[in-house]
Amino acid sequence: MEKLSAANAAGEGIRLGFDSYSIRDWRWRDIQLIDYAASLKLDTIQISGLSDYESLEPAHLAKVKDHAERVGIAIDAGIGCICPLSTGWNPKEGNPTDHLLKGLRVAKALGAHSMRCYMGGGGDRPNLERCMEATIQALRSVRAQALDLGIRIAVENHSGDMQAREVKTLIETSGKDFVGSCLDSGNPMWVVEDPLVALETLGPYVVTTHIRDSAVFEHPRGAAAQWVALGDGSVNFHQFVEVYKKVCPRASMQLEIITGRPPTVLPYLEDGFWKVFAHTPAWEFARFVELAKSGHPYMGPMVVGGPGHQPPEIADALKEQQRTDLERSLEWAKKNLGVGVRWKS
Amino acid sequence: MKQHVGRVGIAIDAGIGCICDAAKSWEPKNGSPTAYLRKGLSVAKAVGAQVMRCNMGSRDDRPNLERCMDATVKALQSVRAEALDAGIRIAIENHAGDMQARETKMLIEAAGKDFVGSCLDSGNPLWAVEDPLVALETLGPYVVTTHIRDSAVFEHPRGAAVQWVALGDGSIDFRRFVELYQKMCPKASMQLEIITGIPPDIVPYLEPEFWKVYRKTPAWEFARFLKLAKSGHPYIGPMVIAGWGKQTPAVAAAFKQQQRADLERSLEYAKKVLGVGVRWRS
Repeated sequence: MEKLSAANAAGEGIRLGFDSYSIRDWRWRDIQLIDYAASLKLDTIQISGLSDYESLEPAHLAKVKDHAERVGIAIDAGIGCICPLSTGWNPKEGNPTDHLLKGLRVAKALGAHSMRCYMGGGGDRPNLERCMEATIQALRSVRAQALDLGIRIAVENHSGDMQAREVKTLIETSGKDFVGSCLDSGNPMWVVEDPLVALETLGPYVVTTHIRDSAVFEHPRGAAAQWVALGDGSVNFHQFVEVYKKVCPRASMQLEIITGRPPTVLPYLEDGFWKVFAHTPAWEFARFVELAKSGHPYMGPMVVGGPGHQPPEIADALKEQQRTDLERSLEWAKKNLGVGVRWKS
Repeated sequence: MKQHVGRVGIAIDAGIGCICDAAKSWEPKNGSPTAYLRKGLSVAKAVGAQVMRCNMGSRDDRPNLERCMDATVKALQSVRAEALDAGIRIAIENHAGDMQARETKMLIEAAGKDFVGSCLDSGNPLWAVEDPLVALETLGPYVVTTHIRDSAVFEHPRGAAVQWVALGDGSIDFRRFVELYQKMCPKASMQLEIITGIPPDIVPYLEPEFWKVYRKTPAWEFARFLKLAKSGHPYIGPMVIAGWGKQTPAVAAAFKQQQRADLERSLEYAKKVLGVGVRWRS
């Protein structure tokens, strides 16, 4: 069992996998996703939502676990929003405790050692303190169960909800014995944060990840950022992996590649922007400014969709692009960053 | 002298220099900060001034900021009774990058706002990555006298660069500045301190080392400075630019001439463009 844990064993290299969201439009489910990961000679996968399973019945989950073991893919589990005050909360989940317990049960059934979840999104920042308190309360309500099952709950810095410093506070307040970080390297952009700062801050708590690149560049209103395939952006991933090896060598590196979206403007030159970042230290922000100053827009080909429902032609192209960009990102990670274990043998 | 100024109709704001014995620019010849402050107060009183400017240190003191601020507060408090008796407000300047406005405000409040105020300098905030408008907004209620000059601020590969220039030659929106000034400190005299001829000074905020002495600066304040740098450009007019040390006689002479020319054209700009000043209208 231990050898199939998504966490890296001591002495081995960083285990490589992907987050199922990367290829969401393919609508593959558990075993299909696992087989795809195995075909790419990966070590792990993060099945980041409960809708990625054919069924949550124990018998089916046992089958998924056996299959993953057979093909040599370790699973990091995951659920979605756990904060009832967040705009991202789905009331259909009942209450946060039930949602967390459901996720923990699935994670345990799969043999996972971590379960990703998140608090909210950028829209929750005006209500940040209350959301953090509610999230802490939700996490604490399942402390005993998580510890009993041996599963670390990995809170993601998600969609601009929190800066790394704030996630760290949330982890430490909830209890670092059972809560860790699902470090996302693309979301720091939405909170004017250098992903390296996020890694430096959360490193000791990182148990799983969402890794992607971003093209960051200056804009008359501040900066703009666009998510791109690994190696296409402005983030220095050689340096990132060097720090990663030091601060969280056992965390699996799950690529979450999200392309096809236009750049987002971060209007930090406008006073109103800072209302929800009143406590951000200038030195942290300066690291982001440095990144923006040294970056440039992505100049390669990309299908960029608009908001909402896409015309069928665009939707098909986006679907294909999801897989292409994930595969070339994994290849780049293997060949340029030297991450992954299985592909080397 | 008091009689003379009365005759020619000029009001005097008095001033002394560094009052912090922990600062690098402290002059031991002045004895102790208390003795130095007392000397200044007696001069201020004698010339009929109601404010006396002084300063703590310079940007070289920022690694030692807390100690310097403590020593300055102590020095100021030691002359509280004398200042109140003389009816003189001691105006601490945000000087040569020693403090950001927020820090100066803390110092004033810790020393005692009944006898300590601000000598607001509009050029020095740039050395402390601060927009002069932020400095005015922060210190406004405490401003009793000023040092007003313009600055050309622009982006540089290491962060930004700043050069002090004559009023109207730089990047600061002085129309907005004066509008705010009229609201926040209309009774403070607007004293131009024009310093030209110094090359641009780099503010290397893109280097992590720079932030060691600005750990508590809120990002929103820094963003206002960034906005200023982004919208500015280098000064491209004529200027005799020299260094800080001793100059050759020819440069020194040109410099001297420039000081007066730049002060006079700045005063003209202040009168005609900003509409400040009282006497020149009559």
